[in-house]
Amino acid sequence: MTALENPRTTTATERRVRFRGVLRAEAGKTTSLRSLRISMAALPLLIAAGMLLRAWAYAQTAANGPVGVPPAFGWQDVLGIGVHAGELGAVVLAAILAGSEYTARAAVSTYLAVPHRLVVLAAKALVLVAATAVLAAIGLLVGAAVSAPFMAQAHLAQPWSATAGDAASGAVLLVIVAVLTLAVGTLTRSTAAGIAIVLAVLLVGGTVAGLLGAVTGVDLGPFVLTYAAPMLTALHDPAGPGALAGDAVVTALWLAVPAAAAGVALVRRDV
Amino acid sequence: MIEVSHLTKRYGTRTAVDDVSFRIEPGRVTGFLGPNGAGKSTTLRMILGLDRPTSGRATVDGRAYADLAAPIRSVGAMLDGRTVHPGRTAAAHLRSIADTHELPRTRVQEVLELTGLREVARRRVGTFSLGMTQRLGIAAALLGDPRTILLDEPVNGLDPEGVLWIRALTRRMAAEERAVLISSHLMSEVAQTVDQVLVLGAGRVLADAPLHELLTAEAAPLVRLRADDLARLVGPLIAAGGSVSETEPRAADVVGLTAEQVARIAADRGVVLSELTAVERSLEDAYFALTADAVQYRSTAAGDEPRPAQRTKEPRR
Repeated sequence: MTALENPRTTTATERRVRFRGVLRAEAGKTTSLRSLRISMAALPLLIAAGMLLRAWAYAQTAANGPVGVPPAFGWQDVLGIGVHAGELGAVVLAAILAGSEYTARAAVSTYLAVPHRLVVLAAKALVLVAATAVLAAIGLLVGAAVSAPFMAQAHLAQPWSATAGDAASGAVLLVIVAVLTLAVGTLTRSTAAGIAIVLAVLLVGGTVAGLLGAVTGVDLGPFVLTYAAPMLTALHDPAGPGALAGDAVVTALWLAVPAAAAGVALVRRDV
Repeated sequence: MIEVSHLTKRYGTRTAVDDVSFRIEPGRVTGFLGPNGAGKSTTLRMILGLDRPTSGRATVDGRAYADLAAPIRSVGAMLDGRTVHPGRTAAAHLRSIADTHELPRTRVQEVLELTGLREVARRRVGTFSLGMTQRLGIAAALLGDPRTILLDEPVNGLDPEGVLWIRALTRRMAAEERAVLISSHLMSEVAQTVDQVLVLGAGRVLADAPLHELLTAEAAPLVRLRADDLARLVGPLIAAGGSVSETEPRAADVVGLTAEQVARIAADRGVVLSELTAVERSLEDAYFALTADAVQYRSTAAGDEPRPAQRTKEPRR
């Protein structure tokens, strides 16, 4: 039954919008949707499963003879497979986070409470960065732990300190992918479009750059996100230390341009 | 208080809202009426900062909505009950709004209790009926205990008890010196609730007046008469400017003439009237009189009754 008395006025004392409140609201929204909870659970699972599969493959190869690669390379390979699998999870998580605002026009409720839309976007990005970093780190460390026995079988054991460094690099890479997806999802206002566009960048970006490079005679490889970002996060570019600055600029542009476009669209477009 | 000044919204060549100005004063309930496509929702969305005006300005308590320090403390709005992610529970939805203003969790429980949603607070909104979704929208609007309330079609989908509750709630809020704006298509409901009526048609303000003033000014008089020799009266009544429609044998409704005018015409012709009743006009009559030329989407169903096609050229204030 509906209460017929009037709204109470005692507890809703004078409050104003602060960033910490918006951050709390966005964190609550992220954990209150089943699709996002599933995505968050899937991210570390995908990473760990990818790593385990690659380590198991090394162990199988080693059963027939030496694998022929140094341990550092083998572990980078295992972590790399985990990061690739994690990219899928990070993209889906970020795309759902962005697109959920436009499901049933939920953004109307959001922007009625917080009319400064960039504040909402910043809070959402912060929540996403934190969630992705933590979940990726968990996935990579758990993946390393479950892969270690198989890597030992393949005579590819290495100190944990070396693995941790590569894992941190992988986590940063996944955060970059997640932030890019949030920007694209906000720009397109669509979960599906966010996933499709970012996966296209990740999966066929290098191929397209190669084809264009063949036609124009210009090496476009360093301008591809899937080249620049891993080099930057690993703090190593075969082209030399000076190339890292270029990788930083390329990665920053891949994030800044979609983020700026998303910000402008968010502010200027009607909800 | 809401103040709208020369607000205009154009989408390409189409003008949805055309130089609209009005004030929503505290202490009264204002009904916001208009046909589909009149620009009501667009106007509300511009007031609330969701749509950018092409020109003009809307302020709440003297400030643009985006400049309010605590928007939901100033304005509680329900534009469309279904602006909630269907996968979120009612309680989670309200908590996410309350958190932005760091309102205590007890306030969420209060509005859930108030709107009768306590029992379904943990259910996903996607499973809600239209009425329950409406109640959730109203709960969100009341969350900040705001000084101004904007409700778009608040009784849509509500059961009779819910309709009564909304009526009592809005009247009480006006009595507490809050400004209340209700957009609705239910004329009878609006007539029982509002003090002031704001009518929009084709993006322009057609009327902005107290309810009683609108009823007396806008609706053409209607007189019901009965006479054995009705046929002798029809011609003179039409000649005098009346519109006559026979409702049954020897009975007719006359629109456009007062009872006194009809009585004089009957007396002049020596026709005996067995009934002569001045029918009180409704808000619906006044509404149709105002919006006859401003209806964008008109049904052509056989049941449609023709309405007087007079139109106010200047907004009534």
